[in-house]
Amino acid sequence: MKIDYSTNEAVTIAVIHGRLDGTAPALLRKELPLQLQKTPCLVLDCTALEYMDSGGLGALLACLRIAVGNKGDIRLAAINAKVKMLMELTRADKVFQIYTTVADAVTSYTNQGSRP
Amino acid sequence: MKALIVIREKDSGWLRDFFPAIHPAITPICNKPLLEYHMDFALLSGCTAVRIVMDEGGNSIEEYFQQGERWGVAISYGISNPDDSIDTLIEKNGAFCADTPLLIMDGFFFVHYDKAGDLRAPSFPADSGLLSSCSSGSVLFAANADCLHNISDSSLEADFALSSLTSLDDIFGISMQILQAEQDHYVLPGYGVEQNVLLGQNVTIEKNTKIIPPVIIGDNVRLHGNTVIGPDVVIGSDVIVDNGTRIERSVIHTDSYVGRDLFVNNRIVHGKRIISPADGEILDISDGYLCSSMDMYSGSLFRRTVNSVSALLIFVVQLLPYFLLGGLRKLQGSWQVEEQSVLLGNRGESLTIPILFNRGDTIADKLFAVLALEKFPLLHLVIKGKMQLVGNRPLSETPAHQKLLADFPDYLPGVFTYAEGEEMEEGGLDEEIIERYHAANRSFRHDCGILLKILFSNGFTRKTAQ
Repeated sequence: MKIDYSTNEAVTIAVIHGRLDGTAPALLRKELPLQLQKTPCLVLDCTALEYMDSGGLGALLACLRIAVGNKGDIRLAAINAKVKMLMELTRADKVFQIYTTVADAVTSYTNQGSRP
Repeated sequence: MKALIVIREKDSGWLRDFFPAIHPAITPICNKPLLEYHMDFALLSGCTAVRIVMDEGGNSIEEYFQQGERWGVAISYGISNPDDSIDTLIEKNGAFCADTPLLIMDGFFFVHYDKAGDLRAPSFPADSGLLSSCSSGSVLFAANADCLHNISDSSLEADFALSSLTSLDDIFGISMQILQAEQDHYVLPGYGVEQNVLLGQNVTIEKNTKIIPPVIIGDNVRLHGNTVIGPDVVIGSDVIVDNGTRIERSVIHTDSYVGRDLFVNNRIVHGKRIISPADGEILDISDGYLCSSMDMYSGSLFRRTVNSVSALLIFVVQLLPYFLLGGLRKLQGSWQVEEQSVLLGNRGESLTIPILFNRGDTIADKLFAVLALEKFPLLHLVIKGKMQLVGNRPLSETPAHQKLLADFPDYLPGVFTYAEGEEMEEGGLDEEIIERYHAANRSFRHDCGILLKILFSNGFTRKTAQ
């Protein structure tokens, strides 16, 4: 798994590549909080995310807690059908805001701000 | 009247992509194999003998239907070529089809009927019959085998209707249709505890579990506390639904574990596999505690304990020589290892294992082979209960092997294999026969014999591959 970061105004866009399972969640738990300290509003671009297991989901939730604690949020964009199925199965789709495109996710921060 | 049921791989093979371990013809619809609906239809139509003709392995079908004692009808089996026409099949089954009215069910479809209706002996002229067809097959009543070509489609006159089965959504849709409106039309397994709720035997429903009809639940099912089941749910046999999970408009296949606090909606759960019937998307869950196959928990405690203890003993004995000789082989450059994904059972579970090759001709290579040290990296999998110490040759995860396992229910991959015990070359029909024979006859004593043979008798004759 690899994550590339870019910043669009007050929002960090993290592009996640590969599979978020096995040892990758530990890496995510380590890397993402560092970015969240700089900008707590983050869009996770999942276009290149192939698969995620419950460990990956757990890591994302841990990071979401940090983001919300810093008055920010993690919003997911362009998740594939497999990841969507996992999100629905675990009801994580009720916890994360999920958008079809990265642009929509970024715009949502402008329109809605972070979490109430 | 006699019934000829024709099952063709070209019509039904697509279903193997979703459920590789199940023959498409016995795919469950409301906990009853599809073919059993055909069988019931044939019986209600007055058939006294049924022949099932298949062009692809149907051991599981024969195992299920046997000779028809359960249905009070004589069931026989025939084989066909994929391209055989009905005329050819009639000719091949000449003795069966001679001098009798025939019911021919050819294709992959669901036949809707009402068991309370009058399906017996539809009226048609003595030199004709009744044909009802859909895009994936047809049902034909003929006065005899000679008048097949005099029959035109007369679906509107029939007391039954056909639904094509060309996608998973079709199969899912039929399950939902039966659940919601046709439960009384068929003989379904289970007993009715209230309107539109059918329960099998030994169903444990814990406190605070809510069941919303229509629901069909199989045998040996445990619904843990705070689960909500329904509406529109079919749960197969040997299923556990863990605490706090909600299932609606879904089908849970036999031998599945559904983890806690999940929400299953519009899905088919098949062991560790979750499928969206609408688009055929498959999610293979790697976390055993989310969803898994119940097979993971099967097997006797005694067998697992013996396996683990024996593997641990061999592990201790091989530890030192493995690292000494392995190190030497690495220095000599004859060390070769590859990772391979192998099938763990016939429900699609797989595992990546290291395969060590015994190549080279040095003393270290030969000693490595004689001491069977290539097995060392696999022993921890036996200790963890993921593989057998003695079992079948692990089959790589390919569609062909998945298909093979559909008719090989006794398959259990082992570190030491039956084929090795018999000193069979890898691949080919002979090896498959040996593997199937030993798998069907496995016992503690039998496996011990094979293991000793591999370790001591064959060890001295084992050679390194060139």
